[in-house]
Amino acid sequence: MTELSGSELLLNGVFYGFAFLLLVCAVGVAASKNIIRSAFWLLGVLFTVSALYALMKADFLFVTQILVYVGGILILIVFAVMLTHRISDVNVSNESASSPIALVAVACTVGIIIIAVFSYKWQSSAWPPDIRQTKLVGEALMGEYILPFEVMSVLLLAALIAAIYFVRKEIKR
Amino acid sequence: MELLYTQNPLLNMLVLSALLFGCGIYTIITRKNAVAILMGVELVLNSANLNLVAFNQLSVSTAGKPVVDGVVFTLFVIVLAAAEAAVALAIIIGIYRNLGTVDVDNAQSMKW
Repeated sequence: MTELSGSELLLNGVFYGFAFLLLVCAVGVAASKNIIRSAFWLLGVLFTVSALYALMKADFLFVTQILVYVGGILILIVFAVMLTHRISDVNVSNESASSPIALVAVACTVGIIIIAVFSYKWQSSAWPPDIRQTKLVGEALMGEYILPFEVMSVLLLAALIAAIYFVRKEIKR
Repeated sequence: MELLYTQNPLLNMLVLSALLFGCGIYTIITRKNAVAILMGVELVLNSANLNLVAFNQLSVSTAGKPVVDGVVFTLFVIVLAAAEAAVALAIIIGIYRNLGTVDVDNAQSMKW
């Protein structure tokens, strides 16, 4: 192994630390017997993915991931778990039909993806450019990507109306 | 064999997101609780986001200007995940009101 400088060693250590944490939390989501614990493992996954964004110097996404995913979607999931959960059945509430066939199928799929990834010589550098992305993202959203931006706002309106419609209480006259 | 993160960062990030994708798929296909299946979908979407940001940040760009196309794509994926989670959870709450359970093995009749 060639000599690694101190900063390279640090970057390697941080990346592999976060990668290990991410995989531990993801396996926790998949294999936890209690659904509330699965939700908290998902919280770990989302925070670790946010940390990986920060490692890659995508600063706008680092903050947006925490605000939207953790502060919005995860809270929504925990609310839904609370509303659809028989409280008397606290111990085993997340049964899984685990079979070895599922594990083999998933391993084959992931294996094919990893083989495909290894079969190309990627030109990449571990030191991304040191720019602040928020200004560039704002200019891109208002310039080149204005149409998907507006379509996204219409889609959010439609999703909001649909969600409210589904959970409304019928008034029986 | 140059396989460390500092020597070949894109490879490491892609392998990591592939493993996360596998965990997400395993969660989707083995869980019986509908909310747990939604958690698996969130794992899959996060792995795709990791890929997008990795290609945006870690590939060597030949042009001079910094690009943020991958980051904008990731933002759209995050927004879509939020909208989809809201609608899916509304449907799950509706199923719970009608059937009393969110077990996906029970919700199998298409009758009104």
